[in-house]
Amino acid sequence: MKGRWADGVALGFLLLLLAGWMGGGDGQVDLVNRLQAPSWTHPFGTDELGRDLLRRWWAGGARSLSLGAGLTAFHLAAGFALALAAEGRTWAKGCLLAGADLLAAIPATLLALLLLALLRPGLGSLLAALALGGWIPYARICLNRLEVLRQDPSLAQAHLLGAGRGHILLRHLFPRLWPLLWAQASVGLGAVVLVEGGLSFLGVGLPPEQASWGGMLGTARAFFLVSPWPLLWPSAGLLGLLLALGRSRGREPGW
Amino acid sequence: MRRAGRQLLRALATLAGIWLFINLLPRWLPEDPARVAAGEFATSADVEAIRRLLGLDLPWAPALKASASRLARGDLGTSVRYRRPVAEILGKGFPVSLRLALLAMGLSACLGWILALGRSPRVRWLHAAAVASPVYVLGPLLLWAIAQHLPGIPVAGIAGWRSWILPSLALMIPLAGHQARILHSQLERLPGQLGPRCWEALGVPARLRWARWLLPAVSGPWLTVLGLQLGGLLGGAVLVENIFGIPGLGQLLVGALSSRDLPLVQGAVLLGASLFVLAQLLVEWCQVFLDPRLS
Repeated sequence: MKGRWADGVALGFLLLLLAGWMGGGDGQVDLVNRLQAPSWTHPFGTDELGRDLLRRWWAGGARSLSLGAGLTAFHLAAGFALALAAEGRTWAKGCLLAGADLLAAIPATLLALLLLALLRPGLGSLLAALALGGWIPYARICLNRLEVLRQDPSLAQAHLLGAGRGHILLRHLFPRLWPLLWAQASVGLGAVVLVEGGLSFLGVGLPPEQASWGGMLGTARAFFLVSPWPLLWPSAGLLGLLLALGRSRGREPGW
Repeated sequence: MRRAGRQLLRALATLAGIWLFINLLPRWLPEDPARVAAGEFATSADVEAIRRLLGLDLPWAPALKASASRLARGDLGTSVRYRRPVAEILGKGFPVSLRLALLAMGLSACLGWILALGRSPRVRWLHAAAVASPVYVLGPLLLWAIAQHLPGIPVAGIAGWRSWILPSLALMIPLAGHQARILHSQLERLPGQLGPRCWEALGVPARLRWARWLLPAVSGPWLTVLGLQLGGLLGGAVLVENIFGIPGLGQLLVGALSSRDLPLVQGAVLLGASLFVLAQLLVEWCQVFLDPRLS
C-alpha cells in the first residue's frame, strides 16, 4: 500500500499534462509584455517574446510526454517483433544481438546527433533519431526470456492440444513477457524524454515555435538574469516528470 | 588471460562494426545527405561538389576501401568547415572533454558512496531526485542559483580551476544518483548473506572484513554502472560544454552538426563509441580481478 498516493499524484500529473493538447496553442507573441513575472493574466509569466508561459509549459509537457509515450510503444513493439522474428534461427539471432551490441555502444545522444546531421530538420528526423536505438533493451529481454520460456512443458502441452502459433504467442508467451517489458518501458519512457529534451535544448530537436520543455530551457538560459521564470517552470516540469517516472520504476517487483 | 584476449577481440570487432555503420549510414537514407547539406536553392553542380567533399560520390565499396586505408594512417578525413584534418581538430578538443569527464567521474564516485551510506529511509528520495535531474536542467539552474551571486565563479569558458566547478557539478549529480542507488541496494543486501555473517562469527575484524570481502562484493555492480557512465559521458558532455562554453568535443560536435560537417560528426561519434567500448573492456577486466569466479 505504501506509495499508493504517490502513484495517484503521478498519474494525475501525467493526465493533466496530456490534457495540454486541449489547452491549445503555443501562445501568442506579445512584444510589449516580454519576460513578465507571474501575474493574474499570466500565472506563470511570459517568455522573451511575450508568450504566455503557462500555455507553452503545458503544451510543451504534453508534447514531450506524448512523443515519449508514442516512441516507447514503438520501441516495445519493434523489439518484440524483431525478437520473435529472430528467435529459433541461430544466425538471425546472432545478427540481431550483434546489431544490438553495435548500436548500444554508441551513446544515445551521439547516435541521435549522427542521424540528425544527415536528415532535414523536423519532427520526422527527430522521431527517426530517437527510434534508431531504443528497441535494443526490449529485444534483448524478449530473446532471453523466450529462450527460457520455450523450454516450458506447458507450451508443448498447449501445442498437443491443438493450439496454433498465434494462440500460444498471445495466451502463453506474451502474458509472461509483459511484466518485464512493462518494467523496461517505464525506464525507457524516462530515457526517451531525457534525450528528446537534450536535443531540443541544443536546438536540433523540435523547431522553436513548437514549445517543448527542453527547447524552452534552451532559449531561457540566455535571459535568466532578466527573468528566471522561463527557466524555472520547464525545469520544475522535467524534474517532476522524471521523478514520477523514476518512482514508478523503484517498486517494480523482481528487478 | 585467454578470456581477456577474447574480450579484446570482441571489442575490436564491435569497433569495426561501428566504423562500418557510421560510414554506410549516409548511403542508406531515403534522402541524399549532400542534397540536404546543400540547402533548398543549390544547383546540381553545388550538390555534386558537396557530395565529393563528403566522400559520397564514389560507390560504397571503393569509398570504404579509401576510408579504411586513411584510417590505418590515422587520418579520419578532412573537415568541411575548418578544412583541416578531423583527427587534428578532435585532438584539440579531446583533452578538455577528457578532463571534464574524469573530474565528474571522480566527484560522482565520492558523492555516490556518501549518498549510498546514508541510513535514513528518506535518502532514497535523494537518490531518485539526483537520478531525475537532467544535465541540461542542472546546468542553467546552477548558473542562475550560484554563478550570478558568486562573482569568483566564471559563467563560461575555461580559465583557472574555478571554471571547472559548475560544469563538473552539473555533470556528476545524476551519475552519483545512479551509483548511490546501486550501491545502496547492494549494501542493504549484505548483512543477510552467509559470507559476511560467517566472517563476523569467526571474529575477523571489521576493517579486514570490509577490505577482503565486502568491498569487492559491493563493487562489482557499481563498477558496471561506472563503466556504462564513463562510456556515455561524451553524450552528457555535449550538453554541459554547450551550456558552459567549454571548447571540447561536445561543442565541436554541435558546431559540426549545424554546419553539416559530416566528416567531423562521423569522427566525433566514432571517438565517442571507441571510448564507450574501451570503458566496457576496462570494467570487464576489473571485474575478473575483483571476482575470481569470473576467470
